[in-house]
Amino acid sequence: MVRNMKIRARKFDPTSPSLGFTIFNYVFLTVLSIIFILPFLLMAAASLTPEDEIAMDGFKLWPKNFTTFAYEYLFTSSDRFIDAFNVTLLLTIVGTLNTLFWTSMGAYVLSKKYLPYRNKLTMFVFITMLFNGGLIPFYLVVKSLGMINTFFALFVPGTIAVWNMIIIRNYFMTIPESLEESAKLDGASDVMIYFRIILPLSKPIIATMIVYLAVGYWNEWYSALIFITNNQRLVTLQLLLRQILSNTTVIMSARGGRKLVETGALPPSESMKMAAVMVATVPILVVYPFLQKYFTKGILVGSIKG
Amino acid sequence: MINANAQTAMGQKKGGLIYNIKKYRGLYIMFLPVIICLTVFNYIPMWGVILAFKNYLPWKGFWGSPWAGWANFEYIFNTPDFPRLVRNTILINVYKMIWGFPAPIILALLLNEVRVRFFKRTVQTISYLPHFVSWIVISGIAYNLLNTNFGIINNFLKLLGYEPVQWYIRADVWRSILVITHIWKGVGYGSIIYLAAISSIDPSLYEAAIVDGATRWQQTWHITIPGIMPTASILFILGVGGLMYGDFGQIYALIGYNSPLYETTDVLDFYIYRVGLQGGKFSVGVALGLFQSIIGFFLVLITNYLAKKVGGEGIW
Repeated sequence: MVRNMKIRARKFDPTSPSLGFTIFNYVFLTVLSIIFILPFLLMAAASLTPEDEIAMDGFKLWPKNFTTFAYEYLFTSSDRFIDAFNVTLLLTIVGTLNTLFWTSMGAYVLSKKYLPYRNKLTMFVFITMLFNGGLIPFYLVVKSLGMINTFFALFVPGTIAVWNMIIIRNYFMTIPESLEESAKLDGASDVMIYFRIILPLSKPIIATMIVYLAVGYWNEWYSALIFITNNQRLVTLQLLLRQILSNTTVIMSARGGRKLVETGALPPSESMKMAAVMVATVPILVVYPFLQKYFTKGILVGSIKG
Repeated sequence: MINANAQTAMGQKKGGLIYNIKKYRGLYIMFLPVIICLTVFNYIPMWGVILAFKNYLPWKGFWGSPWAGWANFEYIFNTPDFPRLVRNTILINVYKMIWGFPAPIILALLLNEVRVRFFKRTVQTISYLPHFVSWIVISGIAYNLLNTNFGIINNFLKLLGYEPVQWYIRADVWRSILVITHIWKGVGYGSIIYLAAISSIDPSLYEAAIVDGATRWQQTWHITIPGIMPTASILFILGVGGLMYGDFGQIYALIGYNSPLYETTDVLDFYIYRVGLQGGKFSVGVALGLFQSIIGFFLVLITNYLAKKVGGEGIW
């Protein structure tokens, strides 16, 4: 209440910013928003433009005719795009659940203030944020575990997400300890308390972590780049997208060629590049409203201060 | 008092390592996966920097490979690419700092002046979006804008009667493009932390200033900006610590193997991948990585010291 009044006092104070500044500010921020969003609209437009129109006039803001041929061709010309899509979907599900399960359990342990050596364990986790051995030793470790060119290389090294662990720990620390005391008296084990009491109380942070991790795994290409050296079927969508952007022939095939003869169309190489970018981006746009909820709830902000 | 002493005495007797681990074994077992994973994927690779002093031969393995002394470091300091790599890595980061460091602060200050909540929320939501798309998607955006034959920017130039520019072979423009895309991707998300810092400033400071007749600009200059300085200071120190680290994702996605652009854009991290990992010069790659961390470590030490000296906040 007092805070509200203070804010109101500020709102109507005679020292509020000048009208000129306010107009500038709103115009500037509007232009900025357009700069953030326009590239996505441009790509969407390009992906729906017929290839002959691109060949003639290049990419444009608004095509004369719209066609979804690039998308059809992308998904049906060869199996590579479908494979990459499926691998990425599977990775998003498996990776998110795996990381969430082990990371949040670790976070619970670190949230117990009474636990002896808790500070040492926190340091153990924290140091990995400051130092790392670099790319090549990391690669050699994964290689020595026999994970090169396997699906495991894509998600096992990311099992523990340290930064997320600290955010989850901070959330767990806000749950009153008294809630678990009665369960303890009834003889419940730590694992049971964690799954039956703590997790159900932590739905907001768990939900936001799921969205956060899922976006990360959907965008994954670094581990595929490094660890998948000769297994085409495990190339993730983003990495295949990089290959398509440099050279569309990676996903063209005899099957696609027949399709072109049937329809009498040009190979949709330029529009297909943009269509591939859109397929890689749209799922993120779909979950984005949930992500936004995450910020408005201030969970991240709280964790930074904590 | 006596009671407390008795408790410590008891604690000492009962508080041994074995006793504690037994008593809290449930929690320690739950933490075991974290210890195993971080040991395998973080601590063992740290130990692997020893390879910088060995000549790693894949068929002989980590232990069997012969020692090489400083040979790998001599190799990197003598390779003709090295000055270019260091120059590019540092220059790109310095430009990113000069333009990119104040950007989220300015955005946060501007957003803070917006009184229409719906407008503020919308701008925030839109500005965070680029953070959540990958560099690969951004390379698609760059392609859409910069492609020589079809790109929107060249179309626009043609429309205005200018010659189209062959962006993908013009080494001189790419540092700027790297800085611009870096800011475009990160400025919105980066402003969150500053907005948080602004919202934690004590409102009574503003009230006192208003009573004293301070203008809005004076309030910003004397209250808001000092209020976010500690946050800015910490982020600056961490940023300086990263001076020797190139953004691998950005470089790989936007430049890739486009060698005409290497002159201005080839950075240490991409070289480590290209020559160290793909080229099989493992030990050279490790030595370069170690060089990066050592420089980074000293830069953090020095900036931290200087930040404290000028009255700012350090990270320790």
